Amino acid sequence: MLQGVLLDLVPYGQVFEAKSVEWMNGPMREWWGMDGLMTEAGHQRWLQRHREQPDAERARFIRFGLRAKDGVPIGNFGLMHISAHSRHAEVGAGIGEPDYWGGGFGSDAMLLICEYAFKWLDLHRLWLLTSGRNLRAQRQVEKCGWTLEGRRRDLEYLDGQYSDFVFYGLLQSEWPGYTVMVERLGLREKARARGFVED
Amino acid sequence: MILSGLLLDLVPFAALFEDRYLDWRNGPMRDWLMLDGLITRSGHDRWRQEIRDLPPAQRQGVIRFGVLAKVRGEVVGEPVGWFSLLHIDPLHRTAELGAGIADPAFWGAGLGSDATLLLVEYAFKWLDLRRLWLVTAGNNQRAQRQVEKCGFVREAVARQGWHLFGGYQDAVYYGLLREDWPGRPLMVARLGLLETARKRGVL
Repeated sequence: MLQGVLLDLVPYGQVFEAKSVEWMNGPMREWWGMDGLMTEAGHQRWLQRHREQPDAERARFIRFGLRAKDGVPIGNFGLMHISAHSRHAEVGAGIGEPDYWGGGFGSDAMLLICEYAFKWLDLHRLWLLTSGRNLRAQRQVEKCGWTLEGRRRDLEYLDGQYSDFVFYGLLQSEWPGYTVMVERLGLREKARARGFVED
Repeated sequence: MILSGLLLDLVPFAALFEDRYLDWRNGPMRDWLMLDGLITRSGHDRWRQEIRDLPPAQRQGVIRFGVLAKVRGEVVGEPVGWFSLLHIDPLHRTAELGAGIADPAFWGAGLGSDATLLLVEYAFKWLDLRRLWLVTAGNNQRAQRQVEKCGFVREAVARQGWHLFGGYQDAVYYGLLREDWPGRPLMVARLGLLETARKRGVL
């Protein structure tokens, strides 16, 4: 478990699996680049395929659930396409409960995953892609220290139209550490304002 | 399906190519393929088997062609590499272009351009795709020049994206949209491939 100030990253277990279909079909839906809604059966098939993967494949994918400090499961965060050779990974994330948008939860989770990737897994680089229309996500990752590296035109067909995707990268050498970043983003004040008591 | 070009033909990636693929992957192309270490015979055989065992839905995401370079006076060309569409996505109507001319004797002769034009035309006109993309290493100037000549636009540079040749290299992403594609005949003329073919005596 990775402990933050607004939330914790916990093992992605049944609590989160059970929420997944609702989240994927909810307000997060348009950012996933999926065709239509996710069914319960489709989700179960996906979980089954994941369990049956060979270990080497599964090791390229680390998933956490996000549990807010008030105990509510609010979304998930993970590393995908982890390359043992080039030492990089993609960050994929979503907060499925809109009540927890804009409160610093995504930033806290992002800082935790960066710290974990750079300090524990010793990765060299993290990258992510987000829709050019998703300005909220772009502001958030830039606040967290990521660099805009390019714009891939018309990459995905979302909600009836093509959308550019913006490509972001963050190198280990650019990472000032979790504590510094928490300070910079004022996350402790946000946690206190919500009445979360420091451990 | 055979896609017939001026300097080469793209033909099904059959045993003729599979048999050579092991040597190709361990040869001069090796560094560009981002392989960690050499491929063994048994690893290669496992890979062949895995491809055959893929469920049809996943196999549809890849279309692999072998490259037969035309040789003066020969009816059947020389197998020199492969050109593929990968990650074909039926929702977004996109695919990645992945390729290699494995025999350095055939580098710089226009083969890569000829094959790229054939595959792009096939992807846009037959498969009705809307966008093609590819990624190459920052120090692979040859590939960057070639895809830019063919109309691809540099869209993103993933800084220090890959570990290659004992150090980190940028990964350079290119994209080509169908509305920017003038069609193969025009591109063949623009790149002067007819003259190249005449010079090689394969027209």
